[in-house]
Amino acid sequence: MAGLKAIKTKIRSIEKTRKVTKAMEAVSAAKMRKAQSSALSARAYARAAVSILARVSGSRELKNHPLTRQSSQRPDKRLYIVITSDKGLAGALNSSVLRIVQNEITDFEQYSLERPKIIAIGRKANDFFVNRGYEVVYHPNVDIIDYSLINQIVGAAAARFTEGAVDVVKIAYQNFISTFEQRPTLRTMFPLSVEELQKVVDDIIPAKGAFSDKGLTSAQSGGQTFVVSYTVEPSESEVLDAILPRLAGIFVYHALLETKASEHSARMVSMKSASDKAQELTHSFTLQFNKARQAAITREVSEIISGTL
Amino acid sequence: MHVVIAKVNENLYDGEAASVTLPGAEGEMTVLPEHEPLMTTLKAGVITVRTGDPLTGSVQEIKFEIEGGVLEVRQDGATVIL
Repeated sequence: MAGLKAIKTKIRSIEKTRKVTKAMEAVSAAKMRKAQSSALSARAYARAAVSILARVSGSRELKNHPLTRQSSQRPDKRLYIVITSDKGLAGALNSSVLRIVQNEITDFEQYSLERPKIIAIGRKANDFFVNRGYEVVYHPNVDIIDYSLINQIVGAAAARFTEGAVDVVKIAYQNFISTFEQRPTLRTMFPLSVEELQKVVDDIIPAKGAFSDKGLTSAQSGGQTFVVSYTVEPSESEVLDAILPRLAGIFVYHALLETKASEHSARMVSMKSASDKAQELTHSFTLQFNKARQAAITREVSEIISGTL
Repeated sequence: MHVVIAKVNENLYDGEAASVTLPGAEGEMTVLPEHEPLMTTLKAGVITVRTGDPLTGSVQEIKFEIEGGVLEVRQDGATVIL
């Protein structure tokens, strides 16, 4: 009979776990939708910024601006902005982002003595790089994604880049493609280029799912390519000073949102499979329980019968 | 003309407007439809968007406080990024 009781306890605990994973699945689904829709609300800004940049992209001032300046020698001093989630339970989400950064750093360390610096966003990234002895120069708290947070992150990276402390700034994040597909992505933020920015803006719209409308955006951006001569006030370099940090802000903001959306969808998927697994286990334990119970009954009956004979 | 005023994390205004008054780098300026293409930085101040028809007098004003930004005026409208 002890066997019966043990099985019963096991079934009950699995059922409880399933309730928790089921609830987490539902919460993640709701959060994922919210993260996706906020990613889309910023599309107008990104598109406007890209069209302004495209218009000044040919100018000499842009090439000589401190934020677009290409390092003349090999870019030895690197800064990585690595974005992960604070919590786990989301499949390979964080480890895959950390892996692409780690791979690049490993390749790079074969021919350079400079240790790259890290801006870690999210607790998992911070733990990873601190444990491996990298210098984490900035680790902001990202509970709320707002304007001032973005400016702080951009400011921390831009200041080091303009004063020459680093030659290149790269940003690593999890790009949301669909609920079932996220791709770790590594992009160059500084020196800022129109091409990289265009890629980020193209990534804003997920390829599949409720929020995909790629046709619309490409048609709209295609319509804006006519060339007009602009009056620029007060001067081109001052306009660039104002606009380039804002464009860098788009990188950071979208990387944060994409990671958020990816985190929630990855967690939703992994919680769903945990719930399914729990159900499967309950089923097999129930079978085992019934078999054990039937065996006990049969044994008792045969004992009674053999007693009467 | 079509006016967009956008922050990186939200759209403050996206729609038609009769005129927009902004704190430009060279002083306050008002953009009307058919304004020449222009790109300028903005200082801290207030943006006033006027909608409706100025001829009939049914004009609504919407105001936004800003700390700075960039204005781009095209043939078909104006875009402000903050």
